[in-house]
Amino acid sequence: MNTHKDVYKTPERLVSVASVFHTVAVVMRKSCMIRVLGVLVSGAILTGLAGFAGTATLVPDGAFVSRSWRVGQGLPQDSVWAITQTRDGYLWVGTGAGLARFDGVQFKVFGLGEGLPALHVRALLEDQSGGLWVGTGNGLARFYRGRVEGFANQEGLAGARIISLAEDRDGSVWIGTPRGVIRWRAGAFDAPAPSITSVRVLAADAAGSIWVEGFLGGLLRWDGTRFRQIGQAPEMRGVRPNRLCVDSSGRMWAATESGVFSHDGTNWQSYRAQHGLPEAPIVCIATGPDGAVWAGSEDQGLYRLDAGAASFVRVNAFNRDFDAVRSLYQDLEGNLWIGTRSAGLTCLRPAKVAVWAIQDDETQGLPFSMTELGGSLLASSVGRGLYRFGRGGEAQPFMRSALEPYGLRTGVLYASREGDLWLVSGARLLLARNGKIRQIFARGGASSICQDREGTIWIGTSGGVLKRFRADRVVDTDVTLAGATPTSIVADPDGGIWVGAYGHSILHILGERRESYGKEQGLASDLVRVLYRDSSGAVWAGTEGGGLSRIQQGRVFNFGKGEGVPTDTILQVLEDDDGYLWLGTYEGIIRVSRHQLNSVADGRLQRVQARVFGRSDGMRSEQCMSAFGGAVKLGDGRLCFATGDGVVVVDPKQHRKGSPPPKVRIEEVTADRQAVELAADWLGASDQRDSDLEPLRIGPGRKRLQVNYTALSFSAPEQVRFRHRLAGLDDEWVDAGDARTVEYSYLPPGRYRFELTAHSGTGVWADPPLAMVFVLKPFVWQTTWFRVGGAVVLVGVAVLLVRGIERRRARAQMRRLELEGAMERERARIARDIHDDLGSRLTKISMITHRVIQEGSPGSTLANHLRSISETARDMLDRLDETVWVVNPRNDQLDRLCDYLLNYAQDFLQHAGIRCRFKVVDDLPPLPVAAETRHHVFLIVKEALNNVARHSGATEARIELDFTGNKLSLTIKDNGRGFDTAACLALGRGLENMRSRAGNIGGRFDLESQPGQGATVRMEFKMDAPGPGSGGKALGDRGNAGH
Amino acid sequence: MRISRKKEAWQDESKMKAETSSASAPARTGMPEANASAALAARIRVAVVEDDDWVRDSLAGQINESPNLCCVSQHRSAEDALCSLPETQPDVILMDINLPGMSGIECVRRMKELLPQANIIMLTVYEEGQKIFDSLKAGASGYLLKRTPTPELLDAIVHVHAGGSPMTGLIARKVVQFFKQLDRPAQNLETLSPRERQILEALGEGAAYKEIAETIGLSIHTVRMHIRGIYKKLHVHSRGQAIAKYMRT
Repeated sequence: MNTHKDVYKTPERLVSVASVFHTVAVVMRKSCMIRVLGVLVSGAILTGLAGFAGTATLVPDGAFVSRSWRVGQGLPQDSVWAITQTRDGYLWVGTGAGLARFDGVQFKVFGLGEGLPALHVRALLEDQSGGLWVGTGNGLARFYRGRVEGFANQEGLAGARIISLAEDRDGSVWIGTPRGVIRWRAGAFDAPAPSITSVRVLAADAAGSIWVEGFLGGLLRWDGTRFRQIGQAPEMRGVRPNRLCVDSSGRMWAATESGVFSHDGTNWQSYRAQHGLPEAPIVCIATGPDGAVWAGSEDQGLYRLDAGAASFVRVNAFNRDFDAVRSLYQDLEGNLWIGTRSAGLTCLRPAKVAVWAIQDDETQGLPFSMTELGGSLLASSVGRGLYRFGRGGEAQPFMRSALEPYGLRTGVLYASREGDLWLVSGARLLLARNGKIRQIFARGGASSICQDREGTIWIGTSGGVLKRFRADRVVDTDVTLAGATPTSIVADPDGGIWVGAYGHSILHILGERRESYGKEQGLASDLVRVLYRDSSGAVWAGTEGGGLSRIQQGRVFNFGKGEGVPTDTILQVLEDDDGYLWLGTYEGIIRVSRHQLNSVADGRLQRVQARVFGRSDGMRSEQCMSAFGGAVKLGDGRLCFATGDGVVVVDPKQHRKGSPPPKVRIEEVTADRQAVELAADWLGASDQRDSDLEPLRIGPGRKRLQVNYTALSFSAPEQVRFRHRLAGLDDEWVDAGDARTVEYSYLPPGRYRFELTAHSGTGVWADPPLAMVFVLKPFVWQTTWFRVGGAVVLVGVAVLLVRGIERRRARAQMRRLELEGAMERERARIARDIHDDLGSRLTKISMITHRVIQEGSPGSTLANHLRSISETARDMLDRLDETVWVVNPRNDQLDRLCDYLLNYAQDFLQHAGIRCRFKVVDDLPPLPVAAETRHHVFLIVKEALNNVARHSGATEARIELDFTGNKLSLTIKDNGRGFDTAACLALGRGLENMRSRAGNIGGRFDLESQPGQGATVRMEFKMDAPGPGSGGKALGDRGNAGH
Repeated sequence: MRISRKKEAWQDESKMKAETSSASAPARTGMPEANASAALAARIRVAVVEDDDWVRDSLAGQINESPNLCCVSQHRSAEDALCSLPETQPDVILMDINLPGMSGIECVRRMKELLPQANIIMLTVYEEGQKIFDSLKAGASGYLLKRTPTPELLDAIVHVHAGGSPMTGLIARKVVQFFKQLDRPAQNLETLSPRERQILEALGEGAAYKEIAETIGLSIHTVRMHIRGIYKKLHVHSRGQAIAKYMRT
């Protein structure tokens, strides 16, 4: 359920994905995404359904549990005139205000709208072909394969009140009305016996012959051509039968105005007041598969005749619900359905457990602690002393006179192997041996008593002290439980005992050895209510709030709700002879398989399947007693649980074979809240293989598909659990609990197979599951051809687009390359022009001025001016040289850059009078260097050299160029005076400049210096590896352009 | 601000000389002592190939003004020079590196075929390593920046004529690279004498002539002579390389 709930959060969003990107959806179909998305269980409907089962009145009536439904629980009216079960498992209930179909949980009402000719239903019959005939106060209708056919206007039926319906061995349906008999044969109606003018009752006998009661004519039987009189017993004279029915042995039973008569083919046997029947007329009669006969009286209750018994017995006399019986029907599960005059519908179900009451002086005692002594069950009842139960459960006071001196405040009971009876009365501990009672001690009482292998009696007292009784003496042991009351002591065959206490670790005492199992050892709760040692030697602890815990081989495992144990306070534990553990709780008695528990502990199973016995099984109180001895296993294997209302006795042998899995039915399929017309085959009524059936077709665009389903279980509808899966969406079963509807949202179009199965509390799923195949039709745009077409178009468009883009990109690239080429050419041209033209002109200026200086008078102002011009011209040439070098694309190469730098450095340093030394790596690769990079590198070097020349006072500078791993490193080291890098502000601007330049080209810049140690400038930057073709080509071009 | 760049390698010597002799001595008298007598014995015959008329005239004028030099012919273009110079037979040719039509470098290559004995000095506006190196490979014996002051220029002509050649670190490195990459093992760096290699190495590492001379224990002139030898080998091998390439293709 939890997994489904997440689903609610995101369906809208996921759906848009699913519908827009239908291809994705197709892929996702198999994934669990949609499973999660699709499976929605409608909580509202779920609770609504649960409500029906919950509110139906449930009364444990001794051997039967009765449950009633009235108008408030969905029944159309409280007068029930006819009941029948169709072969698909539904129970049909005819009332005075419509026909109701019942599945054990909810009623679906059929009225005029559904095709009934009238609402007052008087008779129901399912024929051999599966059609349901409905006789009403105004004609006849037939339900067949989901369709209703009305016969109200047929000849002879118009306005007819249908009183009785029967089918003969040929499949003809006989219709009894106050006007006579009408027969439906081969699709046509006729009147085979016009002499009969009024019919009260009509039935088919075991041979398939029709019996009828004609007015004043007695009972007649159809012999194939006409009705013949049946011989009658004298006491039947003048007695009009109200209803006829055949039992499993073929006897015809007649309910009459005065008693019940049965006919074995030749003789009649009568049952009247002396056979347990009332004086009142018997209005209806039913027989069941077990041979029992049920007779309902006009207004004096229901009577039962067990197979072979001579007399009828009134059933549940104190239940006034079915005093006035109008219809009876025993279903396939053995439940008896009682339609009443004005008290609705009641179901009597055989109780699964017996309740033994401590009945005394018209008051009822509360059983407390129990033990088996001498083959009978003894129970203590607080304030009443001891009772002994007979085999049938009759309680008799036990040892009352002997007990009276010690008071009747009897508590814990324990019978030792020797037949000694230990009992607590008030605070005293008493020992009854051979009918005599003696007091063992008077104070402290005992909360638990146990005999170990050696025969020693261990007594847990409420003070938390463990006492021991041996050789007629009681001694305190050294075991104290820190004041916690020892609630339970069990002995193990090794001679040790286990002590459980309320609020203390479980102790395992074996001689001097003590083992403790508390919370530290993993015990979920140390409020131990009960300990139990099973036949395999495992110790089970029922705790308060912690569920059931198992101690096996020194390890603790806890079973809570997560492990399938439905309640977490366990008061009693017993093991039956079939390997089931029975747990007494405040919410009923739980049966779980020990094997399943162990499987869960071993991790082989996630949850155990628990069967809870409660009021619906006949318990009067679901609350078990929490006391030592609150549950006892009798020698014959029966299990007894003390409850708030009597001792519940379970015979596990009766529960070996659990209820068979119920039949499941699909009731309705809706798409976007509109019902989808379901072929009857899909409703689960047909035995046809689903592969032969035409799948259900559902139109396109339906967002929500809801399937309402049910299981037809009348014995234990509240125990029914469902699971379903939608093959085509997911292959995993989805546990639906008791929900009877499932919703799938936004299913992608496709073919699906909905599978449904259920179990009735046993964990055995109905197999094979019910299947329904449906096809969700796609929109045009969801069809395969559309998708393929769309995909083709899409691919086409994509191809065209890509090609277009490619072409444009190629064109742009070409343009860019052209542009780059043009730019490069332009740069080269500018460089050449500046170089050649400006350069030579400046040179000329320099030369001319020089010449003039030589020719003129040296030292004159003019000469100085001219020298200045000359120097300016030279200076300009130098600058121009640098600029041209930077601009000229031919220099966009690493080797050229280095050549230039070194040349510049050498020249510069020589003129500055500083010795220079190079250390240059051989064979620099001709990698491309962007003009910008060159420019920055050059300026950094220039600045660094300037600093050396101006500030360092160095006599030597070393310049190192290294190129490794695509990284060019350039080091300029001087032997000057150095400086403190941190303090040197003078260099600040320049350094900052160099650093930022290095940063601009993605390089690193370092300056190291110490006063007196010279300075080192280190620069590093990464070169891009040359492109595979372009570099070489560019180099080639440049090489050619160089001259 | 920055010291103006005067790149000629032989400036080392003139500087050195300027340091030793009187600083105020006129530049034109500043001749290398070692060759003074030889230079005076016969005027060196110089030809100028330069497309700018004024520059050509000016250069010719300065050469003629020098007592031990004379300009024997002037040419506006490489083609013109190639036509007439084989007859004129100059000792030294000043060749502009950028000539209209045939480039100066190509002209050098051809001139060397016609006049193997002539020493060709390239004139260039900028110090462009590759072009200068190409010229040297083609057979030039040295190069000058056009803006070189007259005295230094005249000195350079005399030096070259005397069998010396200038070389910068850059050129030295290029020479080393050139020899290293030669195809045949016999032609690689081994073809240079140990002394030549020593000088190239030192130059490549940035040492000045003076430093080299001091370190190795030679005169600067001898260093220059060695450089000339290197240039010759460079020329020969570059020619060989070109022929080899030609043969192979």
